[in-house]
Amino acid sequence: MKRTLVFAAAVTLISAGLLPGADTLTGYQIARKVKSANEANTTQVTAQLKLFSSVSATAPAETRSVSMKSKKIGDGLKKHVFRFTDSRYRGTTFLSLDNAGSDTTFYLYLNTVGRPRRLSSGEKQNQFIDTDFTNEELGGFDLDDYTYDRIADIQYNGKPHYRVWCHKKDQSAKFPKFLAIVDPEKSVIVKVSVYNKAGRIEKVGTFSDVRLVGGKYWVPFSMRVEDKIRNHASEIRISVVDVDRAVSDTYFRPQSMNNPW
Amino acid sequence: MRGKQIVFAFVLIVPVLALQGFGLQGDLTLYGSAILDGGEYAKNSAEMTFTATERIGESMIRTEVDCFWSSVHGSQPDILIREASWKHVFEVSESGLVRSLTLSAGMLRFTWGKSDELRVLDILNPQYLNFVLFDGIEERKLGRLAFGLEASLGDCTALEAVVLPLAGRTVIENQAMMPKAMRDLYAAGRIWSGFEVRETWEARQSLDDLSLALRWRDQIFGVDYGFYWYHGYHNLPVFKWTNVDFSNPADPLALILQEYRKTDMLGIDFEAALGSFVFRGEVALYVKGKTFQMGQTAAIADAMGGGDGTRAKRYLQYVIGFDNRNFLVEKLYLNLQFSQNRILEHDSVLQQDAVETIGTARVEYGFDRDIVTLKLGFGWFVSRGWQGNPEVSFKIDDGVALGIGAWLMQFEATDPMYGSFDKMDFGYITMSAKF
Repeated sequence: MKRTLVFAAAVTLISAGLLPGADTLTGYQIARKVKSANEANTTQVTAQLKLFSSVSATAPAETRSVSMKSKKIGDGLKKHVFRFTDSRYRGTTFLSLDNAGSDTTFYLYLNTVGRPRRLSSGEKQNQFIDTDFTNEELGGFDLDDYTYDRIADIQYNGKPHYRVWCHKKDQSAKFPKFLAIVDPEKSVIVKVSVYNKAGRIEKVGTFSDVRLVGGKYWVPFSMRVEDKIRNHASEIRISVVDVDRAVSDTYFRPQSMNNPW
Repeated sequence: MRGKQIVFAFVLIVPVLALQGFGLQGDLTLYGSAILDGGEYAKNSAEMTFTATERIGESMIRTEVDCFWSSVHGSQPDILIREASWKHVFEVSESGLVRSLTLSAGMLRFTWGKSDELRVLDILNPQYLNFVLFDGIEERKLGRLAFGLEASLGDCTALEAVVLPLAGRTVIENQAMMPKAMRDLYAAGRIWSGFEVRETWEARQSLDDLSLALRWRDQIFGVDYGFYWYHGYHNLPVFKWTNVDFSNPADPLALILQEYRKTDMLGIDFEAALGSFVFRGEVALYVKGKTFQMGQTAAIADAMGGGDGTRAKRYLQYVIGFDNRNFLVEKLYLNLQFSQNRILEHDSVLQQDAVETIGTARVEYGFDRDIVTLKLGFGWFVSRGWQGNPEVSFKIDDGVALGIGAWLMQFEATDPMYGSFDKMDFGYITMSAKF
């Protein structure tokens, strides 16, 4: 779930600098910062998704083009849509709509089905198609789905970073907890370790090449998730980010998920 | 009319190709099969689908054309227009009652209903039925000339109105896979010179005979739902008996017209997530114009008495089901559906039973990154028979997939609908490549 935080933060360009007195922040306050501080009003991303057949592989087994768009609809709330634009999955489109006070609604459009299909809340932590990213990581997580515990800061890349345990409230979750390492200056998660029900680290996400976009949003241009148990990895490498430019609401409607982009 | 449709498709596609940055994509599908247990033949085909898309601002053009050779098709090679559409979105306001208006025109493809394998509301588009029991509904759909206006009132709320000037023309020419009662009519035509089945779909139809459709969709308490109304031509033809004279049994006369009739249908559907399950359902109620075939003997008697071998009845169809993507174990996909078709005030002369009950199940499990996926589809046609479809698919690379499977069926040979498929078990191998 921690990873969820990180991914969502990265993909949606969350987070910004922390306020003075940040050292007194609680785990929840840090999580809230990560979710909202770098969130632009709108974001449009073009990226490459690379699938590696093993964690140690240097060349990807598959590379796909993806396009993502998001729009802020409130404090910590957004609409987000993700589409594969080539490969056998082209046209596959994933839409998440945050709802104030209730679960995020997920829809998946597959060409073979011909209409958007609802996903259940139980599928939040399912893999997205055949990648190592979960639906929740790509679509964004509900802050209220977790409880947060800040623990002692650590040195990461030579600088002090926050550490926050994120515990899923749903005890039956596939990934009941994750540990997030957060860059305090940029409010960007730089690493997450995701634990499975057996208490083992199943996935590790690293977020790097953090750049300032639009003069005020810190965005990790590289997001890599390694599945330590199945020994494979997925990586999203952003090539273009465009922020705070008008994006039509029609991109975020279930009935429009098969429209050309 | 097909020629006009092709011209129409190219009128739309050429401007797209002329635009800078248009998208052109192709799908190549090869399908080979071998009969396992008697039967006539299955299908061998090579199909190339071209899809051209372009979006300029809020205008969108999409054209999808199939070019194919297929052993289940009458003429080789041939093309089908799946879609040739133009859409334009007019943004109205970000927070007002109407957020946007969407105009659409062309050979459009609609998806009505929220069910999976069985979709009783999805009747606007004509279909390609030459491989009917084995193609999914999206593979069967053909574009239909239509003009639409949709008013969006929110992310999940919209009112859509559609005008369809012409009846859709469903392709149903492969006699080996027709419903048995239909195939028997064509067989009679081959035996008796005075017995003819004739298609009457007309290219030129009156514009004062439009089909109209309305759809309202919304979400309340987390439940997506829709209301539907359709007044227009059904996408399946009925067989109208005319000029019947069986006074000489050795050389009877009959002209059977395959015609499309107007119906009035009301519908409702829903989709709701509950825990790790997603429930879906839809109901279609034909209040007027839905006609049913009589059995052959009754049809002859009816036609001899001035009738046409059909009866109009109110008709109710419903489907309910659910799916779960982590059923019992992680990544095991389960989809179950239950459906009934009920002819209200059923008449014993009708070929179709008063109540038809169908159950479907689909189970899938993908290993690793779905490099290998096991699939099993099953349909149970209560008191009539069943069909099963085991398949294993392999992801060769990001653009190429291979599938090996079989269709196994058991029906009574005399069943007027599914009798044609008894003893048609076959195995198949299919390869698809996208570029």
